Amino acid sequence: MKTIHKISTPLEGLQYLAGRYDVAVPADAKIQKDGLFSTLTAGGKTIALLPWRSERKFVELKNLTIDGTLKDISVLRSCHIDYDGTDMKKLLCRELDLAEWIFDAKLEYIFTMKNGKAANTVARLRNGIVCTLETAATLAPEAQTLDKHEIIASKGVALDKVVDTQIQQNSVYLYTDQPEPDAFTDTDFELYGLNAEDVALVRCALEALKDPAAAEKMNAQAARLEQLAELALRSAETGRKLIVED
Amino acid sequence: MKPVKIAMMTMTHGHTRKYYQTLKDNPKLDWVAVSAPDPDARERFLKSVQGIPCYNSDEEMLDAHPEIEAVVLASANDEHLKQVELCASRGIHILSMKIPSFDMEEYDRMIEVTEKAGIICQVELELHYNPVVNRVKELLAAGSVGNLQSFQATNITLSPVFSFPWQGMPEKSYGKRIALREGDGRFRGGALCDHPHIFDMIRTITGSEFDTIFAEVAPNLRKDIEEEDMLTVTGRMKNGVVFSLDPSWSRLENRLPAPGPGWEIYPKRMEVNLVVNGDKGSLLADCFGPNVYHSGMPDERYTVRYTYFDEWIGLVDEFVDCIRTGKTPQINLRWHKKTIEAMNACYDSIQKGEPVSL
Repeated sequence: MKTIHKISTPLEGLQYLAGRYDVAVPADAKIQKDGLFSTLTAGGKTIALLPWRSERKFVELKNLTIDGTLKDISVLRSCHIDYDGTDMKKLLCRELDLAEWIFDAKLEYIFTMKNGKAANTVARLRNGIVCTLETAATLAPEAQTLDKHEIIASKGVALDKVVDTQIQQNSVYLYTDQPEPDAFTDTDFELYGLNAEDVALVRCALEALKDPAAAEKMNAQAARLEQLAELALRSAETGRKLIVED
Repeated sequence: MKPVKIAMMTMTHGHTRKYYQTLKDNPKLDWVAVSAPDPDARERFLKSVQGIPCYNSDEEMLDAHPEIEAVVLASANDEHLKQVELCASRGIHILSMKIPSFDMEEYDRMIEVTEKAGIICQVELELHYNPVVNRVKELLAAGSVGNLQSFQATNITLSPVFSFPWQGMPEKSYGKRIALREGDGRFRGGALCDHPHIFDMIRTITGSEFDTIFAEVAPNLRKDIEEEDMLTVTGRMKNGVVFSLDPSWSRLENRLPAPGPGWEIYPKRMEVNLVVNGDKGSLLADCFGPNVYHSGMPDERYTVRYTYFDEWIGLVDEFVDCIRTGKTPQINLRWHKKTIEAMNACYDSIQKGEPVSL
C-alpha cells in the first residue's frame, strides 16, 4: 500500500495548500487557536478567522438557502455543545455569525438566558428569520463536540444531522477490543490528517492570504461579533431583549 | 511545474461535468479545448462552461491545437480503443474513464499502443483520492482489525441510463450484445459495468487477487431497460478473504435528461460503504458521508446534499505528476486489467449459474 501523505498541523496544511495554489506565505506566518477567535498572523498583520464559514456542511446549508432548494425560510435552530471551560463568548460568536452569514442578514435583536455553563438565545435577523441558538460548554476533553443546525422553511427543512439521530455521525467506525468504537471523519483529501475544524481553519486562512479584502472583512466582522456576544451576555445579565445598533 | 495543456473528448460520459471545476481551478492545468460530436453533449457543455473552444470531432480539435499534451476521454466505452489509438499516434497522454474496455483483446491492444508510444494512461478510479478511503487504508495497514477475514462493499447508485443513454445500450456499454444467460431477455452492460470501484478496492485493501466469484442477477427494478440493474457478487480472494459486493443500480431515479436537483427518489443517490472484518475487530466506512440533508425543492423529498466530492482534485494531480515526472499511475492499464477480468467473471458466473475460478 502506498504511503499516505498526511498533514499534522494547521500551519503545515496552510503551507501545503498555498504551495499548491501559488499563494505566498510570509515567513512569519502563524496560526493560533487559543483566543476568542483563531487568528492568522502573516506579514506583520493579525487576522481574526471565521473558519466555520469554510466548513463544508455550512457552505452547503448556505447554498440550500440561495439555490432555491428552500423557499420562504422561517427559522434557524442551532445547538452547539463544546468542551468544559470554553468561553461562552466564543460559542456565541460562532453561532451568531453563522446566523448572519448563512442568511446574509444582520441581527436585529438578541435575547439570552444564561445559567452556569449553558446559554439559550433568541435572535431575529432583519429579514425576519428567527434564530434559536442553544449553547453549552460541558464536554470532557476528547469528546466529539455536538453541533446541530436546522433551517425550517415553508418549502423544506435542511439540517446537518441525519433524520432520527442526535449526535454526529462519522465516516469510519473501528470496533476492536473496547465496547465503544473509535470514530473518524475525514473531509478533505488535500488536507488529510486534519480534523474537520482544522481543515476549515486552514481553508479560511488560505482565503485570508489570497484575498486581503476578505481578510479585512473578517477582522471587521470579528470585532462586530465580539460586540454582539457581549450584547447577548448583557441581555442575560439584565433579562432584557437588546436591540443591535449599527 | 509547467501547466499541462489538457483537453476533453466526446463529453458523453456521466463523469464529464465532474472535471469542469478541477480543469478550471488547478494551476497545473491549462484547459485548451473540448470535442463534442454529440449535439446534446455539446449544448450541455456550452451551457456549463464558457471560454473553452468546442469542436465537432476529436481530429478537428487535435489538428487545431497541436499543443494539447493530454486528454480526458469522457466517452462511451465502445469509443475508447479508437480514441486511445488516436492519442497514442500523436503522443498524447490519456486519462481514461473507469472502463477502458471489457473486450480483453481490445484491452491488450490499448496496453500495447500506449506503452509503445511511451504515454501515460491513467484510469479514473476516483475512490483512491477520497479522504475516508485514505483513513480506511491507513487503519487497515496498521493492523487495526488484525488479519483480514472478510470484505463487504456496496457501490450502489441510481441508474444513469436516462441521462446518458449509451449506458443503456449493451453495444456501447459492454462493447457487444451478449445475453446475460439463456432465456433471459437482458444483456451485459448494466449496473455491473458502472461500478468497478469496489472490485478494485478489495484488491488494493487485501493485497490479493480474485480466486472464486459467484454472481447472481435479481429481477430488474426497471422493467424497460435491456441490461441488468440488480445483482450480487460473492467469492474468495487468493489469500482466503471472502467477500460480498453489491454493484447495483438499486436506487430509483426520476428520469431527467441531465443530472440535477430532483434526480434521486431515494434520499442518497450514490453510496459506497465498506465493512472489513478481521480476527481482531471490524471496520465500517461510509465513503460519502456524513452530509447535509433537506426536504426542499424540487420535490420536497428527503434528500442528501453531499458536502465533499473532491476526488477529482487528487486524481488529476496524480495524472499531472505522472506526465511531468514519468511515474506510473497507481491505477494504470496493467493494474486495472485484473479488475476488468473479475467483472467479466461475474458475467460468466451469471451466464453459467455457477461459481467461476480465476
